[in-house]
Amino acid sequence: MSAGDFDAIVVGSGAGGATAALRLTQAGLKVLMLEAGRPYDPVTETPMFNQHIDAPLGNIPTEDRNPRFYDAIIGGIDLADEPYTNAEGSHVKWLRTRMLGGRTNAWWAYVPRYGPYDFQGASRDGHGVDWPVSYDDIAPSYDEIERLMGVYGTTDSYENEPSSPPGILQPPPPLRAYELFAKAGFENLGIPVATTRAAVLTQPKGDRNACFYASHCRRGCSIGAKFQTTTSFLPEALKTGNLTIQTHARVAEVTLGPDGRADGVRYVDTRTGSFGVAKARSVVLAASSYETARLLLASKSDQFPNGLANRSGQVGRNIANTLNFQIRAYFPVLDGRPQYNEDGTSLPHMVVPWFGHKDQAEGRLDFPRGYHIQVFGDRVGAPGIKTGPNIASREYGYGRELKSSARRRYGSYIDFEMFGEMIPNDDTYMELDPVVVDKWGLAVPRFHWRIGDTERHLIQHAKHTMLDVIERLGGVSAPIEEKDGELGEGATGVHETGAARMGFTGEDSVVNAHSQSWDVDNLVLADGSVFASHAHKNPTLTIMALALRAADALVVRLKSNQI
Amino acid sequence: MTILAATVPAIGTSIWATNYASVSPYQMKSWPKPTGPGFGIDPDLSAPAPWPNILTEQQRRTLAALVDIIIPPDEVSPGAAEAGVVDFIDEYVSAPYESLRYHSLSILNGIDWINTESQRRYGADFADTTERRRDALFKDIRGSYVPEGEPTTKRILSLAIPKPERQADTFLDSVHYLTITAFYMTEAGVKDIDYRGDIAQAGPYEGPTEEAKAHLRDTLDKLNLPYPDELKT
Ligand SMILES: Cc1cc2nc3c(=O)[nH]c(=O)nc-3n(C[C@H](O)[C@H](O)[C@H](O)COP(=O)(O)OP(=O)(O)OC[C@H]3O[C@@H](n4cnc5c(N)ncnc54)[C@H](O)[C@@H]3O)c2cc1C
Repeated sequence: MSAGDFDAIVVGSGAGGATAALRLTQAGLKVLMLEAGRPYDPVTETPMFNQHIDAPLGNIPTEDRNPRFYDAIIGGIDLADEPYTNAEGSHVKWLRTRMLGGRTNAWWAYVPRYGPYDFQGASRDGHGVDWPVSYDDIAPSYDEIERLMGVYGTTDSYENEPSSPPGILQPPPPLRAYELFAKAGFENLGIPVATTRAAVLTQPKGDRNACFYASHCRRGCSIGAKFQTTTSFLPEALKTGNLTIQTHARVAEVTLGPDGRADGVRYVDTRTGSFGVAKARSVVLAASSYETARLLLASKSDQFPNGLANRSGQVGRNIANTLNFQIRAYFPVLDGRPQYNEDGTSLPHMVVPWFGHKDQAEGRLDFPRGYHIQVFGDRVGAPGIKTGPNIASREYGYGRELKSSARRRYGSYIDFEMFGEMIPNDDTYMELDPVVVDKWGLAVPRFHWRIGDTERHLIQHAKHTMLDVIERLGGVSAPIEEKDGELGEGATGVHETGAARMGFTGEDSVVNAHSQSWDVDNLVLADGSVFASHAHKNPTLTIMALALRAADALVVRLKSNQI
Repeated sequence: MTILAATVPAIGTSIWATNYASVSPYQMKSWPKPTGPGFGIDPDLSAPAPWPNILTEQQRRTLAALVDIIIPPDEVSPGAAEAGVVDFIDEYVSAPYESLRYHSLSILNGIDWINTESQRRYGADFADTTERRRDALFKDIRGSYVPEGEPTTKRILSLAIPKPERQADTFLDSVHYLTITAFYMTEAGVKDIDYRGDIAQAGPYEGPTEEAKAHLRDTLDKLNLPYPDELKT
């Protein structure tokens, strides 16, 4: 590939990379996308209707296939070729995929918007930093990305939970019986319940079909109903004729030209182990937050001895993930309830948004940020371990009694799962491991992880909320195992963000409000690395809205020859 | 697992403890990792498990008798053995995964032990002795164990690897867990429990039936809870 052939190199084909590539190519710019994983086609590769029992070991987790054999995850936490390390006392589990489309192939597509408070945390409560963008700045990008993806939901808004203007959302599926039951419990405690917003089509859109309410989103979606970049943005970008995708291309570093600008990347072909270079007028990194930071830290030069675009020293810092745990409860009053097809879309159709703003404003809570709760019923999805109701985990008897008990209680279990906000702190960061390298000799991340009292208090509050509602509904909850008083401290989440945060100045942040590096003006970040804080809301819609904004700004600068 | 260890009655534990020690650990064959298309981090998802099963015919017979005590045939569905659970556990104990090794070994040991114990007590293989004797032996190890409360979150999330000193409990616990898990994944089990989903449908998802809603209203009445909007008529 010769210099000047491409206007931009985009690293990664997941949520962020595909959004940026779509935008750039539709604007007529030439893009080279480098993806470390293999090609992947959901139309031919998705085991939509295989039964759990058809998989080796009935689809249970193994070292090779985790969490599930049939999940659309080529990759995992322990990748033989790409190790990473944890500092003493930290236990980050970093789930990575190495396939076209990244983690969007397996994601569940719940897409809440961040609200006004989420961009202004520091101003409101003194913790962390503010974002250099407000909700109003980013709202048009939310509208647009939702139109492009296809999202179901309602236009109802709640405090700090904005929804979309009319005309964007597709109709949501109705609540299931167990959800209405849980809703009655929450509402009775004065806690409002909202309709889920998900990037799952309930009406056809272009070449993509509406959901047929079977199988599970985690396996991927051959009919294109669940948003996956491999069935949407990537084919759409290819249609422009401006996109070249190279798979098996693991980027090793961003290279710097004599003018101090990025002039391309060095990458390794993972099949042959041979290194190559690619050149372009600009570089967009969207390799997933931690990997993008790893790339920057590993791109060392005389000008950037501490890593590219890292004059602020903030690369690798401010990382966060979603605090998360669940409580399972049994509701005897639901025993023997009438059966019907309760599958719907894979996600819960309702969600409990954070409801404690007033208590916080009046000083009644000992933590400043929020959480949300999702409820999962045991009849959604075929029985199996973790993939649906795990009957074995609750029936301790045996014989005929066991069978009738399992029948009677099928439908009486609900998992309450909380997702909480973690505030970035100085003890939670990543750096390059001084010793360990990967299969191709590239430096790997070493993680440091700790949560503080604000998180611990939030977790306890969530626990009590869930136990209260379970009690109000006449339920019995499973004992909760707390290790050292810590529960769900985020280190194992799939919502990594923040390793190269955006800010108001180059002193204390890595990129500006358009995700452009302060130090290297033709380097743009298009994944969760730019997050300045980590709300409890699943991050991907925000990643994509920011990627859209970043790409639009880059288009202007490329077209006007500022780069 | 903790609950189990604490509540298995003394009699079960002591019978086990005396006999278990005398059974030499099953020698796990070591074999190279399979290289078939159904193995590894990027397998062919339509390929079956590419490793050979290792249970002997006698072990399979013992196991069949055991899983049918846990899930016997009844008027609704066949027993665990007929539904295919023995094949599932055979595949499990034969799998070349370190994370399963502990449970596999304990199951392999346990199967041999229970047969040896049956021969010692009754002069016959476990599978060949009478149902009543099988039940008696099963009850001795299982004890009158009744769980208190609900299983812990940990057991819900995975088959956590227990401490070696709990090996005695682990055998039955593992077989119990795997038998139930596997049974309700089979066609017979899914039908038994009347799971109605996973059917592709055209048009919007309909949600609860009128019958389901009526039941829900009754339920909320019992709990003295107001209806959410969707249930108001
Ligand atoms: C099971 C599961 C469920 C989820 N559910 C939700 C949900 O409901 N809602 C939500 O908001 N989020 C959810 N997420 C998270 C969501 O998937 C991620 O936030 C999102 O995919 C992040 O996009 P990304 O582009 O940053 O990274 P990814 O989608 O992971 O894409 C990164 C890509 O970059 C490639 N890459 C990495 N390193 C290199 C390199 N050096 N060179 C070249 N290419 C490289 C990778 O192979 C990968 O394809 C879920 C995740 C999982 C795993």
